[in-house]
Amino acid sequence: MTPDAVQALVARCVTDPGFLRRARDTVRPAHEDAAARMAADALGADELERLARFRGFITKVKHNALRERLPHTLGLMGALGMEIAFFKAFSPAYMAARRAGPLPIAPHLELFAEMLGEFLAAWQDSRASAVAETFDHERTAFELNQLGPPSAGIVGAPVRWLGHVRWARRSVDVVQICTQLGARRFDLSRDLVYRDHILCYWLSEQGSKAVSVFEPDALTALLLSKIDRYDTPKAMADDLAALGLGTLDADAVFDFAADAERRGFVALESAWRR
Amino acid sequence: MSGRNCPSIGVAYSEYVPALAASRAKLIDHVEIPFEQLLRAPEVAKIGDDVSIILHCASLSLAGDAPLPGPLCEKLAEWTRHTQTPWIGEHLAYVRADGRYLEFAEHEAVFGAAEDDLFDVGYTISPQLSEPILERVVEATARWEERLGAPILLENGPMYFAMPGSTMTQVQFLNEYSARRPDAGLLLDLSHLVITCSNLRLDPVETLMQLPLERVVEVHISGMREEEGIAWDDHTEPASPLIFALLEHLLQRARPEAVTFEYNWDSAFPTELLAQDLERARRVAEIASALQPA
Repeated sequence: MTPDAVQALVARCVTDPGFLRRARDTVRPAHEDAAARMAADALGADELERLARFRGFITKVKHNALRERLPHTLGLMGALGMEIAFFKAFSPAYMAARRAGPLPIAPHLELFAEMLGEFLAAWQDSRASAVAETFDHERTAFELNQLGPPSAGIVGAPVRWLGHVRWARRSVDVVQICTQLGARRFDLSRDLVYRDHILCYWLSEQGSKAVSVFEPDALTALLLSKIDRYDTPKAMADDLAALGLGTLDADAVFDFAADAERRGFVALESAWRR
Repeated sequence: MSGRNCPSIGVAYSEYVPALAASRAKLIDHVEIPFEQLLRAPEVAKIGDDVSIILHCASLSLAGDAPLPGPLCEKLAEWTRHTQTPWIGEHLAYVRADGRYLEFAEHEAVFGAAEDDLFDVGYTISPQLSEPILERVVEATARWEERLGAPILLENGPMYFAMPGSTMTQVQFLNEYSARRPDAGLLLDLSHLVITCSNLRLDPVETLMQLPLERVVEVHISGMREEEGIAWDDHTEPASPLIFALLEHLLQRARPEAVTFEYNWDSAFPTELLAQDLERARRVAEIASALQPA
């Protein structure tokens, strides 16, 4: 085989997932694809496997634009040694999706999410949840940033959010993961901390366009997440009492709401003022 | 850039670079910009108002049989003139392969699946290291130099798999290339060197010493990561201590004109870390320069 023929075979292995699959499918005796047989003979099983990983690596590099949105998801996958394996599995779907041209961020993220979910479900590693939650953390921040001002429909409500808020239960400390990965100080034995907590993602309608992430205690999270559902503090206090939180009377709810307003989370109408 | 005692210390372009260059005036001597990035975002060349630009390229496919399309050749020539780059770094690699092989009677059936019979990988692949490819690379680099009016520095690529039909090592290839092109320079990517050595079970210091170091004009530095039993290039990670040790070895024996840090795959790369590494490289270069005879 000439050098150009060899190089073309390798290039086809890298650009044509079906071709590489056929070349690696050495157990089928009635193989019809002559070029795939040629590739199998020239490269052998070990090098074909390396080419499959190389294709995964190329797909990874082509995700540098998405890395802007998911730096720590990809960083964690790298730290866990699963990034190439994932992109090797992802590359056929990715190549098919971008056949017509580069993918815009939103559908790209959607496709990535779907494939990551499938990959993690099959990974059978206890650390899969850390990757899934880090991805959800970064995706939540990205999606909040895509939102416009809070809809006018809620203006005039007794309690009105002065921005966008999302809540998430976490079982792993994604903030620590992201902080340490961002500074290139991530240590797998130290920074993968499993603990149940709640995170609040907040994008203020004024000031910074960056999403802030808070970790409120469980009671604060409960109150904040429900505060816009009631016409009066007393109605909320009654509901809380039904949940067994009778120590929080209407005055305590008033105080909590006033504090939330002072901190710029909500605007209160007259029914929520003393 | 020639005439310096110490090499120019710079970075590959990333989104954080303009702010870093503006805030710390003497930290960055040059910025390397990929030609492909200029095609997508020509505005990045504006940084040339503040620091000198070195053009890099990953599209020439020097070792391949499918040439760069004509309009892109013109664009490359334009950017070469516009940036006044002292040279253009390009990989010992191919990016595209033409599927039309006359020697295959069954050609249509074999290669006809790809559109236009062209396999465009969109990424550099280390080529077959053989006499015919060596001849092609020697001829192609000379032709591009003439066409662009700027030197082409041939860059060692990382090797991730064994290319069938190779008859020489990459070190032999680069030595032979240098012998056949006595005036041509090299771009030595130390991370690629370490990756190749790791994947081929070679000693990186010994391998470094076997290269024609006196021909090295520019040095690349970046990170790497080992996964799935293979060492991979990784521009999201900083260089390892081994890379700096190799830089020391190199600078004790050669006088490259530029050292470029390629921390450019993550636009949020911590700039303090980059600054530390730039300063570290500058110290290494200054010490080596002081120890070398004039």
